[in-house]
Amino acid sequence: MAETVEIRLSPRAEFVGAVRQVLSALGRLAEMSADSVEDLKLAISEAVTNAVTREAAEGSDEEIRIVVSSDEAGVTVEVTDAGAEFDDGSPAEDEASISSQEFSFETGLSLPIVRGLTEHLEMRPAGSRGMTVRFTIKTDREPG
Amino acid sequence: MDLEVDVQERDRWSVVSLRGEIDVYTAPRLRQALIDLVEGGKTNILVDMSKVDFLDSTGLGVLVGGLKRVKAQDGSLEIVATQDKILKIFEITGLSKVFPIHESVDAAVSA
Repeated sequence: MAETVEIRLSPRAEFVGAVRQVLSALGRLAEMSADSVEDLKLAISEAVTNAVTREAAEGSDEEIRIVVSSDEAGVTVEVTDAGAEFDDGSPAEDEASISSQEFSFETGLSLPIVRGLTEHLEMRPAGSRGMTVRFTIKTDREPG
Repeated sequence: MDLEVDVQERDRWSVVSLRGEIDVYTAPRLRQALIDLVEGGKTNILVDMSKVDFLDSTGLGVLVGGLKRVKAQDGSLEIVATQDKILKIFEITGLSKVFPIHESVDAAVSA
């Protein structure tokens, strides 16, 4: 049976850990393998960190929306922010994030890591500004 | 969700032992520890991640920043990591080819 959880949160770094814990619990409920739950934790953390840092770069305080749904095949996560306008699949290279060299190299790896962990990574514009990152991690059920 | 940072000197190394989770919220603590070491003239740094429960790109970014700082002074920054979930992140990002990774502090110090 499909299950869905939706969370909205202010774009604050201290919330990322809590979101990671809460949503990875859904993976355990979906009987994901231990390795897949770790992948889910990391991918969620990266996607939410990407959203938090994109909003920080714009000075935005709008809520980040996270929707997680699970079914027999796996867990699908969708993270929508109100950061800079989506730009041709290269969101980590927007002008705001490269305004500080330190900031840039600390955030530029988020989405490549998500891409390395997941199936079907999609990035698309979210309305007039912001972006949505969507990905799926297979359940990879443990035997027994 | 917290990160403990402990620094001890061992032979030529400053050993930075980490315990907890490294993410966008806690990584600044690690960054500050590395900056303090380099500014104090300590440029051979061994970061022990064997008790790290979670690491993401923010933590990797801090390590890359630390590496840049020590390299600028002919120093080195090496890693101790034992858990598959931590090693996997270094591999996905290609950083396993950038950082020497050891199985233990003892192995790194005697290398």
